[in-house]
Amino acid sequence: MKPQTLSHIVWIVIISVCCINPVAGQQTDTLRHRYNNYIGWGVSVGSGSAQQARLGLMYSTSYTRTLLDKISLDASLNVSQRDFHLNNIIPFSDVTYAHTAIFTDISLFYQLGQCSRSSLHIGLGASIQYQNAFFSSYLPPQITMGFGGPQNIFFQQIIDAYSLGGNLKLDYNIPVRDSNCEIGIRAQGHFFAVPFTGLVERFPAQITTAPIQYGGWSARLGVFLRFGV
Amino acid sequence: MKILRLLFSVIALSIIIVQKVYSIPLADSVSVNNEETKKLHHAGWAFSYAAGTASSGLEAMMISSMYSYSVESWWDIEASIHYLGRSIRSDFIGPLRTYNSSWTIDGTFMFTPFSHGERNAIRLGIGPSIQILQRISNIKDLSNPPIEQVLYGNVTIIGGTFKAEYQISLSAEMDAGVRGQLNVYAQEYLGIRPLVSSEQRVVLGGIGIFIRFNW
Repeated sequence: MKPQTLSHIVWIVIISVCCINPVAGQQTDTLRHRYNNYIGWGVSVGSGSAQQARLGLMYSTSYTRTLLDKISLDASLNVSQRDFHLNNIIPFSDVTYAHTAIFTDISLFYQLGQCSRSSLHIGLGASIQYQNAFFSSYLPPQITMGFGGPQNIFFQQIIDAYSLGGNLKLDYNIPVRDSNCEIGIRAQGHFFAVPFTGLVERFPAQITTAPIQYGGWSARLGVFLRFGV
Repeated sequence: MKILRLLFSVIALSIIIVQKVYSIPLADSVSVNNEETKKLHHAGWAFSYAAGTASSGLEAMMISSMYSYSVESWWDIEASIHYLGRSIRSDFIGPLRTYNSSWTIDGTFMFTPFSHGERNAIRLGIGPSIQILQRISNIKDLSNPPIEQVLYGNVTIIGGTFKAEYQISLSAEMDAGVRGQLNVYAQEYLGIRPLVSSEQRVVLGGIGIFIRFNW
């Protein structure tokens, strides 16, 4: 199956599910059962293979739909951005780095447990990532041996591409008393394959070291604020 | 970009099909003046096919997140944030590679000029806007030996936004629709370095689809 086809199917499923009302009429005392729809915003901190192992912030928005008693579907949109400029580091020198990743997750959550009105959920799903990145640096002679002799070579990498992957999430949700609001703590990991479409380039191409990985992984911990609708 | 076009089409078509299959009433009959259905808070997302200075004038996908509060039945105050960026490669005048990234924050006064309480309506909006624009380019001059340079710029500019949308009410809690926007910015800026020449005005335009929840 082509990635484009898969992407279309995922979107159709999301929108279809949005218009189904499976838990209407159920009455329980937890916030998760009083509302079928949740929308939320969150901020996470973490790192990944595309961020040069540096910590960065990620902004997220999410929509959660309760499907069954313990099962819910979550769609989230996440944006992380990181850039820096470094001088005279080895093996790369005069590094300019900028990276923006936008990824959309579709995750199916299962409620593992409940303590009072708080609940713990685990989620697994698919992700699609848009990666917009730039890296440039002078490579020192010890790296450029074999590419025309020992000399400084200006190396750059540019990415403007889409890739598919998966996500694993763990949510701990704490309802705010007497409101339609809950605070969530979310740990999440993402894994992406190499891009399937877009601009992906190393220059000069002979240098196979790719500072920004095509795809890769990331792990983050964040806080969400959600409202039942 | 063909994928994006196709994706937008599929989503729009899916909304229509689902609405038909489940016979969700187009809520002309649902008046926001009805206290039982009146929702004051609205939040949602939009995906737009956009272009602007932040994409070097080329088409790109803009992602938006928005929240609005209904002050009266016919007008809202909306706050929205948008991301637009695109990296490009050009070999027209030597090798040139550019990374663009922008964040735009709009405050908008949204109102329904042509309807009287219906929730399927054309809505217009106008308000101030701030854009944070980052651009990194490498250039290679044609001297002998050639020298590579990296140019970095990060500026904040102030301007205005105009928005127009057609909203379809899928239920009391959910709306969807089509939205277009145009942002124009002043030529004065705060930042590290000019990203564009003084004659070039920073702009942003896009059209897309949105989904919005009400509570």
